[in-house]
Amino acid sequence: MGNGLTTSPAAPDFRALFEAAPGAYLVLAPDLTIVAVNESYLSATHTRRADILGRVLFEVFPDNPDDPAADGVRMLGDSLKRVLRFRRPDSMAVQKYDIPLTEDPADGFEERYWSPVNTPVLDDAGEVAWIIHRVEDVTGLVARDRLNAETERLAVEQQRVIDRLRQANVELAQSQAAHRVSEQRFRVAVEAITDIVWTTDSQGLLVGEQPGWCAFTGQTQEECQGVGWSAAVHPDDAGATIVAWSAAVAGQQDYVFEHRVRRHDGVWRVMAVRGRPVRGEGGAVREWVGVHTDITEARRSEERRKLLLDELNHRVKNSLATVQSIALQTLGSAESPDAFNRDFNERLLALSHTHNLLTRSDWVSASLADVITQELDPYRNPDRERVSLRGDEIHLGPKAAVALGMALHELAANAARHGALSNNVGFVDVFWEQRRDDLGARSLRLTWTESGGPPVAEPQRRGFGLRLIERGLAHELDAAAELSFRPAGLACVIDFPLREVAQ
Amino acid sequence: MKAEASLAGLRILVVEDEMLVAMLVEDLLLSEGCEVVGPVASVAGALALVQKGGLDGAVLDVNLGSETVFPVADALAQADVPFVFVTGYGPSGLNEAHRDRVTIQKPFNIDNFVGELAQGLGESTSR
Repeated sequence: MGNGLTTSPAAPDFRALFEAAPGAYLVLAPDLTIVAVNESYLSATHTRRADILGRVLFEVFPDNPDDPAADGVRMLGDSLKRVLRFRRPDSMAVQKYDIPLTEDPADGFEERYWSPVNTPVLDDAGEVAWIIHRVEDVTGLVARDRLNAETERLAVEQQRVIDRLRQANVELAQSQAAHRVSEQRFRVAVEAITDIVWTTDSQGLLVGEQPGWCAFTGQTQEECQGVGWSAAVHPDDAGATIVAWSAAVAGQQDYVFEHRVRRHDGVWRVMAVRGRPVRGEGGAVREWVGVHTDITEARRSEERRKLLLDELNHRVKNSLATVQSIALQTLGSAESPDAFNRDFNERLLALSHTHNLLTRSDWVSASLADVITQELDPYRNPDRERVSLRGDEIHLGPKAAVALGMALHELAANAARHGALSNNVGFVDVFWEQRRDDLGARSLRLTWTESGGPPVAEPQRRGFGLRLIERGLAHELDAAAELSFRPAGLACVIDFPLREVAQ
Repeated sequence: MKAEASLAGLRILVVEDEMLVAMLVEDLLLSEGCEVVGPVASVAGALALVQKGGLDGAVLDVNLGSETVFPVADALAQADVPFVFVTGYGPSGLNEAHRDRVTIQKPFNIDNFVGELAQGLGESTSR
């Protein structure tokens, strides 16, 4: 044991051993005065033996007055009391017991942690003779514990941060998923609507994938890039389109335009175009989004509507002019206001009857038998035995139907007033047949023959009815109408060429 | 100044496919002392009459059912015969070549009809 001890193995120098012991030891009398102390203790507590021997422990080591939580004196005192009372070693929990920096406590304290054990040394009578107070400076250990605790705290904090990040990540993922759903929805919507959605960069140049435009025009992605799309715009519209588009991009204004675009099948379609700038957070235009809507059909139906309206207007105006004509001519030949009322009223109804028939066939044609029946009905007697209607099934176009209807009305009204239907025994025979000449041209001959009425004489003046039959039919139908005022009864033969009429 | 009616003795072609309207126009012209040529309801019939010549003017219904009267108007313009249009459409129904012609609206304002006609024929002749 080459430690330089000079004592013999038989008799160890206990004082030397005490002094050299690696632990820090203090020996107390039962009255807690310090009776012995080893080097380790002195060095650990920054004290000198001469300063502390013979003094009461707590005088030498009072509580740190700057530490309101200091309980070192009390805890040590309790432990020592237990030793004195129970005469057994007493291990104290790690104790904060600050050490004065110098012998003068006013100079301040150094924070220290101790693991103290107080052990009684009993005399022969079993009484406590001394107390060995051993302390281990565990300030380093405590610091490590603190470090551990701090590390632990940091770890917990780190974990919390990690958890927060993870949560944020989850939320981000959810929001991305929601975004994906929304994007998918948008994509499907874009595909579902027949409109073409396109995007350009901030300068108005078409960039990237443009599936809508490419599908509609048949252009490849490469072909439509930049201003390549204008190749699919009608040459007559392309110049104005570029001018308007450039102006919109320069002015960062909504772009509204119409032009013709060649569809993939080569058909020109009328498109309504709308473009709108998309602004970034700073307000600068980031890109443009636009829509092409095919309005060809809408345009067409608009034109059809306008055409129908024009046609309707034309018919109404013509009908008004016709009524005006009937009124003026009836007025010219009426013998009295009552006669005017009656004749005008009947003629209006006659015109209206034929219009009704034509309306049923969308103004395409009317059956001759129907036209005749309608015009004669008001003048036939209830048993209908005094009018005979016989003839082929013939369909007349609108003009022929109206003209013939008016003519037959005039014949019927005349018969009812002056002819075969003005008495109780007269008879009217109406017969019509289709004919074909040597060249195969079709014509119609209609004969109106009255009999049994009052004797007939050539009229003094040509009224509206006669004029309509003789001149009007000729004009309207290229007809040859011949009226014979035979004494036995009026006869009328109307010949006119038949034009092909849809039924 | 509205041109006063001085239509007596003029030979006027009437092209109108509505029988009753044609009869009315005919009446109105006859009462002014005109000689009525026609009325005819078709372009072909009208062109034949234009070709015969001897016309001092014409009243043309724009819409003749399946055809329009413009070939007749062209022929009359070429022959330097004045004419007016009659239509329910208004001037928008006219084609470019004849947009400036006097157009008489259907139904007629009977009091103005002769004045409008005289104005149309006068203006046309003075060209």
